[in-house]
Amino acid sequence: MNDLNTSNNDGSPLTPKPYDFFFTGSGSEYFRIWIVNILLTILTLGIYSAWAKVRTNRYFYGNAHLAQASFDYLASPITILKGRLIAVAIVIVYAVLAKVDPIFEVGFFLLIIAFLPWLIVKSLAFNAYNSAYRNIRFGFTGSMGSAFKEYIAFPLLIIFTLGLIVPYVSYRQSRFVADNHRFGDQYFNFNASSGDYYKIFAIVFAAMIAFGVVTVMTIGSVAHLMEDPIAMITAFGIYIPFIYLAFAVIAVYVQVKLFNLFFDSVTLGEHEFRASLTVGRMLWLQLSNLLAIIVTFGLFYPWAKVRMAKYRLEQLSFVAATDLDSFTAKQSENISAMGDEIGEAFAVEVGF
Amino acid sequence: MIEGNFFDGNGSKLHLAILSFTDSMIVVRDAANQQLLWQNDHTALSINSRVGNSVRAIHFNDGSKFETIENALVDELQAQISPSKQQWLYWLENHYPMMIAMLVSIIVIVWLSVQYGIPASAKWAAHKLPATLYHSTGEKTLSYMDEAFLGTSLLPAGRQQALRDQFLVHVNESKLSMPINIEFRRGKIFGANAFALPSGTIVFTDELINMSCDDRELIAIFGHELGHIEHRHMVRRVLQSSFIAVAAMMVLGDVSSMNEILVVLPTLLLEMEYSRDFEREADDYALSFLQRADIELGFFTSIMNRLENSADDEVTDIDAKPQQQDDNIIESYFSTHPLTNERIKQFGQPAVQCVSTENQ
Repeated sequence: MNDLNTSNNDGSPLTPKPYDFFFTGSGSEYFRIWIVNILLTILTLGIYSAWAKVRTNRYFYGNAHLAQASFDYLASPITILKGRLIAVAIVIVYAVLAKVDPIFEVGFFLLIIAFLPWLIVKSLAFNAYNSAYRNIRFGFTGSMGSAFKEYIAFPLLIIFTLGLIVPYVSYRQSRFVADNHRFGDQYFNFNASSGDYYKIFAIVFAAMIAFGVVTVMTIGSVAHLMEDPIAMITAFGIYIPFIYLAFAVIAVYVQVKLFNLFFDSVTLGEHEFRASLTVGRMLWLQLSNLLAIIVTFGLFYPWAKVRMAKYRLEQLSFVAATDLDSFTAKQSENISAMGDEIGEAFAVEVGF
Repeated sequence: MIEGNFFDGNGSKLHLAILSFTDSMIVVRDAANQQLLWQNDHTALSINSRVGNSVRAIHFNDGSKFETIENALVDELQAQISPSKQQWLYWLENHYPMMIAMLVSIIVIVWLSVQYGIPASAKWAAHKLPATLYHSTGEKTLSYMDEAFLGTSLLPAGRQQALRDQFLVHVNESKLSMPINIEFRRGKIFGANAFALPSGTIVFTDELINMSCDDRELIAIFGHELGHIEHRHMVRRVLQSSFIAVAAMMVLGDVSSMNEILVVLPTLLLEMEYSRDFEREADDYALSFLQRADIELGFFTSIMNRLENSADDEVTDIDAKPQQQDDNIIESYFSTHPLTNERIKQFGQPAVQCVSTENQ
């Protein structure tokens, strides 16, 4: 973690002031929005999905607060609709071609790989440009070349290094995402080191080895005790849920630690972030959400989404070095909209 | 008078502000020092539609913005200056009888589309597609399978021709929608199997031929595969999968952050259900085919039984998909084919007893 930069340029006595993010949405309110969205999407054969997306995002942005102000989602449904129509056309062509001749599946896969950097950059740019706080837009200006390096070239090296550079690749991707985002004309800075990432992954690696050893020993001892293949299979059957649980714990651990590390390492000018998700709480949230969604045949989904958004946001705080009044918008914002909406439609999940 | 925040759009400075509207003028003043922040008539602003009780933005045409949580007051303002286009959405979202009606509608619509809409539209589209597409699709699939999985048949050419003749003698080819072509291959990992391609090609594996103890069993299988071709099942399956994929993408567009299994599992179950429907349809076709050919229905049952018994030790099946045969309700949801017992019931005749031990 970085030292708190407590002194300002002019040596003024202002001490950094932490502001907490908080979320005021509720599951039952979002449930009603969600139902209307789904019904209208079905009745319009999908056309409305673009408006549904905007409405959903406006609900979640408009309920996210920081220092007396809230966030704003500004994307136009028409732009999103255009992107989605193109994306649907591509998916239909792909689905038909892939079954006509499996060779197309390979070809399409390679094509997607080739376009992936472009999609990532466009998707991030679209979301950033359409997000605003205090009437100042965010922005993203990563280049295709860097995206290619971080999402294609370096990941390819993972195979040749037996996975040893996974933490390094993860570090580079986070740095790419953070460093290229800006709020107004102020760029974010990413100050983590690759060592921080190696620490997280080392713990994961150790945990997996330990779990593997425990598994082998448990099953071995039970089998030895009973010397009965049926009993051994039964014991293994009982053990399977524990394997799933162990993987869930590991997955959540990585997710939580990377989230915290990401925000703890990002600065915006002299301002900093703090994130304090915990593995136990996140595990409980995800497992209970999953269970409730299954039991309710999906109807719990809006509550699940709200619970997750609330927890993630409220464990985040912004440490303002001075105040939040001195950011300025980027003048003559010259965003080329071409393709951004396609990036949005494929919703490439990137980041931390 | 509405209290809120004002931002000029150039800087992030927050002005606690008060918006007031009189006659046709909208005025925004700083709450502390009454300084005028913005003033114009109502044509120079756009009010965001209401989304629950989330913060509401009013965007002014010079790039500045007013935001407030006083949604009810903004609604009043909106009613005065311009009846909103989207206010009905908020109305829909906040009437509980509507809520229940919508929930029921969604369930009914989804059920109807899954049960009737998607299969019917795929069927309609499959019969509209040009014959050339069927031909090239089938040919490509076969040459791909030849390269990847299948081997050249070891059956003597005379035996192959005899079987072809036996199959086709029961068919009035001029009444079929496309010419039928019968091929023989060594199944290898597919084992005893037969499958139909969209181009009208039906492939039998040597293993299946050897497993049968009477050629009439093979004619029964031929009838089943012919049913797949005449009903255009292969192309319908492709179309249905695409429809489901597109529908899921549209309706669940924002699910990307949720566990993928919540989308994948229902889709998979649905495709399996459709697959079983196709098999039943092909079985029906085989049934009337056998009746017309005056062949005992028990031959179908007997070959199905034998396939089932051999399925225990190797992947064996009619149509190149792994299947487990078990009289079990749960399993029927996870199977691409109807359970054999159910199938055999449909034919209403016990298996023909035939003595054959070759290749068991």
